[in-house]
Amino acid sequence: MLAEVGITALLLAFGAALYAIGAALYGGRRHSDNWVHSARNAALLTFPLLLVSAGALVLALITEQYQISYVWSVSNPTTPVFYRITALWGSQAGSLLFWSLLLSLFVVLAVWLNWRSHRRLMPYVIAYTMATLAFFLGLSIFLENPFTRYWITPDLPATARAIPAYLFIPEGATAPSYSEMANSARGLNPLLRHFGMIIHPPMLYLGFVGFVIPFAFAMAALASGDLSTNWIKATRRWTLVAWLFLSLGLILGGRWAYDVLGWGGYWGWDPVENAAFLPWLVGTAFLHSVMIQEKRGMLKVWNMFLVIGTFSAVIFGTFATRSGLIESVHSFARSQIGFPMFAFWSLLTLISVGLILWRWNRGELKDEHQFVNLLSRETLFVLNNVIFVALFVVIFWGSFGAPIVSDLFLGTNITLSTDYYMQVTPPLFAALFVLMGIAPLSAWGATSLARLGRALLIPLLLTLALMVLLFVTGTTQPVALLAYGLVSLAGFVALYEIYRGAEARTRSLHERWPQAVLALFGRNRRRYGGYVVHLGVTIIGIGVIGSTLFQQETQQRIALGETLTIGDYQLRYDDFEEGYAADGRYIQRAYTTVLRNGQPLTQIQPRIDIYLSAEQGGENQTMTIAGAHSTLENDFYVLLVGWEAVTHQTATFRVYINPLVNLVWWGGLVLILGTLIAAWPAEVLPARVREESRQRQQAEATA
Amino acid sequence: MAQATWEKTGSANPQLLLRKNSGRWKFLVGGLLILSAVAYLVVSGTLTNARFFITVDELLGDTDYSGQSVQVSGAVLGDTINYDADNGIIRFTIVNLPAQFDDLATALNVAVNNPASTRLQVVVENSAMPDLLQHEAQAILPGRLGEDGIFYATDLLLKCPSRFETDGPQQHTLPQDHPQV
Repeated sequence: MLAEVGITALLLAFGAALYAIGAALYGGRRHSDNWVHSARNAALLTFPLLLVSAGALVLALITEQYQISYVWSVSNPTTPVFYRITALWGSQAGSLLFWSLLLSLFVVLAVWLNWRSHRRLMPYVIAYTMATLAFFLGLSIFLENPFTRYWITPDLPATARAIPAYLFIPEGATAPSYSEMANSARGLNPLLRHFGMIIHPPMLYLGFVGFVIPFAFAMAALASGDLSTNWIKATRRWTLVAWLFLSLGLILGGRWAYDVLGWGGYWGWDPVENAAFLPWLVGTAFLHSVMIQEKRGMLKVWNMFLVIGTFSAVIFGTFATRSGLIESVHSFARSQIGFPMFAFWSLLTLISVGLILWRWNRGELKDEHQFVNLLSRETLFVLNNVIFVALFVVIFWGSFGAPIVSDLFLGTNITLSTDYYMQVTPPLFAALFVLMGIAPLSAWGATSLARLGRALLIPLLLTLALMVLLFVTGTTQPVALLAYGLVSLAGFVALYEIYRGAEARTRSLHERWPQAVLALFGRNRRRYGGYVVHLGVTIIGIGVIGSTLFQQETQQRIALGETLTIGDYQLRYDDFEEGYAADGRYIQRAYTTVLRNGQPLTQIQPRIDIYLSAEQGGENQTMTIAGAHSTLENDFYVLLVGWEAVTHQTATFRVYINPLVNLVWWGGLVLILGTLIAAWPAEVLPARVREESRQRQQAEATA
Repeated sequence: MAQATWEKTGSANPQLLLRKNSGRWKFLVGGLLILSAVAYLVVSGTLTNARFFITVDELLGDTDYSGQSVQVSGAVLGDTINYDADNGIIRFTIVNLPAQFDDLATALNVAVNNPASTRLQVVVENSAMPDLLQHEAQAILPGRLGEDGIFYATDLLLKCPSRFETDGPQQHTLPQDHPQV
């Protein structure tokens, strides 16, 4: 029953999306309000329909309907209810449906909130977003349907190994026995049972989906001819929200890798990770460069390309990682969706670029100002854009370009090692941090070197002081000093700008400090929210430098009661226990004490979880769960090395000291806070009041 | 009002026009510099870090590859895995992965069950024991083939597609160890 409900709602949503495209385009061309209204209603309808469809799947997961192939493949009777719900995005078919649900939610909000204010863009916004939605729904219906069910048909040969899955009930089919299905069900991959993995995919999807909105508005601007900054104003907040979720998704993914994969790192430059990072890079460039268009009417074509680039990167990333195109350790299934996704990606990119060229050719995308001064803020922003795009290009080349080109044209398979990224990206990141330090101090139009120097003086002195302090306290590596210096300059500039703004208020308005800071942020959320984001990125940068350059590691086998030493820390092996947990996994746990210079700090328990599936014909899966003692200074990260040698007498431990690694997560929180400040809506007048004032203005204008 | 007039004369001022042109030059030179710096980074990075991604058959079949930094992929034989926990050294054997299968899980299964598959001994130093290192996993190994015929890997990446992605439930009339069709 649930499968029927789910598939019916899915089909209706698909129909509604297709209808909305047609009605919107027709209404837009013919300037027919009725058709555009009808298209809007169809677009709005997709969300409740998809809610029903996804709801049916979640309900099927909760009520353990293993006859449904998706339920069978991602859960089993031992799966806790919480993980049953999150299994909605545990595998491909479900995540595609979830993707569509989120997209339709965003579309509903975007259409609803902008209906009156950006009426002219609406038909095309609906057409573009619904085309994207219809494509993903098509994948869900025809290729990756989560609602197919297992049926035993009379003509199924007795020698056939697997029971086939069908969307519609075949004639004379009988359902396989419930207990048989429940016992053989696969269960959720234990690697995915982590809070980071539970919220990482939805965050990433929200980020991906969110960028569809600015893209659709940009394309609507091109299609409708409303090439003012309207589309930018309408989508600024959407872009920030999408960017926020994408950043959050990336940080959580890193956290998951750090906690679960047990190699002491959080970023491995794997193609799949890079595929999620690429849209972030272009999206960040876009966030900055739209400011220039808003303030100076420049870079119109460039911004269009960036928004297409972001959307393209989203679709390409999804395609590249799910099609088996690239070898990656993230074991996504090779599936049939590769080719359709590639076709969709090329088609949309071609249409979009075509639209830009058409408008450009008609001279409608001319910039209102010219670049004159090398130190003006717009020049520095362009430079920032160039670096972001350069990072995009080098990372794209490393993960996709080189392997694909060598495969297509050289007949060989060439991959680039992670050292490639460690060699190529640091200079570009360094350049970004320098720009992050200088650009906020420069002025629109033109800045003189002397003025910039004066503004930079105090942050620069603070940076030098910090470098001296670091040198005195033992950080003598020139590379590290330089890296810390470059990164903290950007942070000091952000702090100093906030200080300067607040100080001016205390002086001229006689406000008290907390009041002045609050008022400062309230008056210009975008600017000061932006500084907080810069501060967050600085903190992340410091964490990355510390944990990359100064990681220490050791691996030793020690007997019960013995200690091993790493740096000025010791680890003592106190006790060991093993046994079955309530959910059936077998746990081996070591009790250890962390000491520093002989003084006990804390007790940690690294463990090994063994998910037994040998009786089901599979191999057991082991998961090494690290124990960590986290402080701002470092993480003392311990793995119990799982091998035959783990006994009550001796155990082998692998220990990492990851300096400053927690700043990566804390910086992430600051970044989120900053983005929220920048995106927080200003006080909005009620719609009635706005409408009245609009009518009054219109009346005045016509009078 | 005064400001508007100033702007008008300003844009017609030949001196300012000249300044604009010299500005263009600066932008052009700057742009070229950045472009060449990025191009240099990419080319040098690619040249030093590119390596062939090959199969066990290709590695052993061509002497050009021995001693060269390559990335080799193969299927892990479970009972060959040995871990020296004191020194963090993993030793195991991989076999050649046949190319004719689209589906990785099938390719891995065929590879480990074929006694004629080419075998390659692998040593990974200074490594924890990865959770996914087990029978029938795909190992992706950057490293070099030593003169002793052993592959010295600098890293170990693993994929186990069989575990959570299979065709579907099996028919209960069949024994679990029924051969694949």
